[in-house]
Amino acid sequence: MPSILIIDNEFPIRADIYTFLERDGYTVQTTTNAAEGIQLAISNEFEFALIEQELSDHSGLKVLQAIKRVKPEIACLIIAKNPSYEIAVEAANNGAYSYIPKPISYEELSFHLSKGAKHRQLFIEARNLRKERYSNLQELSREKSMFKTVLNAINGGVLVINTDGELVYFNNASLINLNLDHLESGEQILQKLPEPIIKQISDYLFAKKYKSNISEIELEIIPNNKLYVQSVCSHIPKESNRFSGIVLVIRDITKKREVEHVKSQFVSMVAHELKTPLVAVEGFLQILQNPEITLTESKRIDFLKRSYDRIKSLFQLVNDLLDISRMELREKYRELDIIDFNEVVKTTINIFELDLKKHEITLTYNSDEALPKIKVEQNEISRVVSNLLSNAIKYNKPKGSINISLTKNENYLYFKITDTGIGIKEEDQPKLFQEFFRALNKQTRAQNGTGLGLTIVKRIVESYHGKIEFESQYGKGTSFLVKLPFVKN
Amino acid sequence: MNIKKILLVDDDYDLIEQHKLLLEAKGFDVITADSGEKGFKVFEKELPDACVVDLIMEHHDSGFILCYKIKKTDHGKKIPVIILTSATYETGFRFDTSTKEEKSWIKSDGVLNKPIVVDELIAKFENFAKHKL
Repeated sequence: MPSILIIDNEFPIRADIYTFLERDGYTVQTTTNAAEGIQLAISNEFEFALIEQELSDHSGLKVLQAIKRVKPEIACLIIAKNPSYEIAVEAANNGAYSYIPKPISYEELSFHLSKGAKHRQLFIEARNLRKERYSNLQELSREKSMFKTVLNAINGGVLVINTDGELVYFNNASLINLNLDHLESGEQILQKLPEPIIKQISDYLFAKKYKSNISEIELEIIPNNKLYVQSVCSHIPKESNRFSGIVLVIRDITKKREVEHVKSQFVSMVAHELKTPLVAVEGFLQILQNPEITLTESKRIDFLKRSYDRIKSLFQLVNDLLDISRMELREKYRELDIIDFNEVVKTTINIFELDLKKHEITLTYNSDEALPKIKVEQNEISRVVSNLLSNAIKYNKPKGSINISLTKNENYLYFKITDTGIGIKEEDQPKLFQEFFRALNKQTRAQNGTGLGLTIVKRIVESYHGKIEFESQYGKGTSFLVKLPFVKN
Repeated sequence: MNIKKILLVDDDYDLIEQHKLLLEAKGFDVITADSGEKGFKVFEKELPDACVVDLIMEHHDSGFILCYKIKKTDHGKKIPVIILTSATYETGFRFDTSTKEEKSWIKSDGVLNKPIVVDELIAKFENFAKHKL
């Protein structure tokens, strides 16, 4: 219900106006005192204020100013017993929406009130719009700075290019990923970009209409695999199937490429190593069936036996490969036991007793007493010992010796195995733990091996935060040292 | 040139023996070596009519190096040198002599896949002879 405050020393004004106002649903409050009028206006919610121009204790215009300062939304009209043009203008300048000379008819007043209601509504709407606009602007500036911060934080380069080929925006990573010293927004960017990217984006820049699909290319920025990037280009859509430019995202994929390369190299090596024994077996079988070739009975048996040996080594290779891939999977899930390393060594030596006898190799084993235990999966640690021991036998000299020791050091158990074997040439030493590396010479050729044994050993040892080292002298022998952290108390 | 004496270089004894038997059955004389280095020494001494060379021996590229060394000699230029390997496209090793670039640095007169098919090898020899004319 609209309410009216009337500030007039002539009050009560004509009783009929008052009655009419109440009839039409207005709440009316009156005062003859300027100060009280201001107080009432400020502390209540009036829609309208009727202010006499000449109050007995104050100027009506001053009251108007006071009210408008605090409550600009109140629709104020000035009534004047002694109207003047100058005062009317001043009243309007101070925010009064109407100026009515007395005496006032009710028809006149209600016309002015309805005008005032509209005036007030417009004012409030305008104020709300202003408020909204202000907060929108604030949000916008917040968003803008957030946008910038986020784009600079991501490690992919982001470049925005308009349809004239001008750089509109770029982040820090664009400089790094394109290996550029300097870029400037507004500049023509095309001649600064590498050839493959220009080719990629010109399809988009000169397109007739918006393309929803993206284009992805990979290219080398710094040669020799120093920096390899992926460039993704997409249109920035605009209304009615058009576009306002393109956005380029440049990601550094050098690491990923490296991993892929190593992986594909490994797969190639595996495939080759699998194929080699198969080729040999196939060859033997072909010859055994070839009517043009006559073989002695002992040669036939020899070929069959050699085929069998190749198949056996193929099996061993497959098992080793499975072990490696399983190891990668299992590292997360393996069940660790607290075990006695000494027991593992003794058991493994027992398994190789026949082999040792066959090669007439003497083995000595010394271990410290009361060694602390290690927390490992038993199978894996047996594998370490048996791979190293079988190498020490295989690559030993006839009637050679092997010396094994197990000792405690500050944080590690030291497992050391020394043979009097053929040793490893200095040039071969750096490649020792590489997959499929086998030092090739007369002595090793006679031995079966997959080239994965030491790879497996190293992987197991390192998976327990251990270390493996070796020393070797070609022709004299080799010594491997495995350090495994032990369990304290 | 009539091919009679073939030098086989391979570090796999099983394959050397097989290939030797197969080639001898076709009437060739076969001499062998088990590494790239020894292969070149035998080549210099025996001056064979053709060479069949494995690729991966003591080093990954032993076969290439041996081809290169043979082809640098006067005698080597006159005879076919064929690489015989199981390291091929199927196993991910990307080379043969099909492209111009590869031809420029692989000095062999052809690449063949293991296992050996003697007729294919003879075809390579003949192809070499034809281009020599």
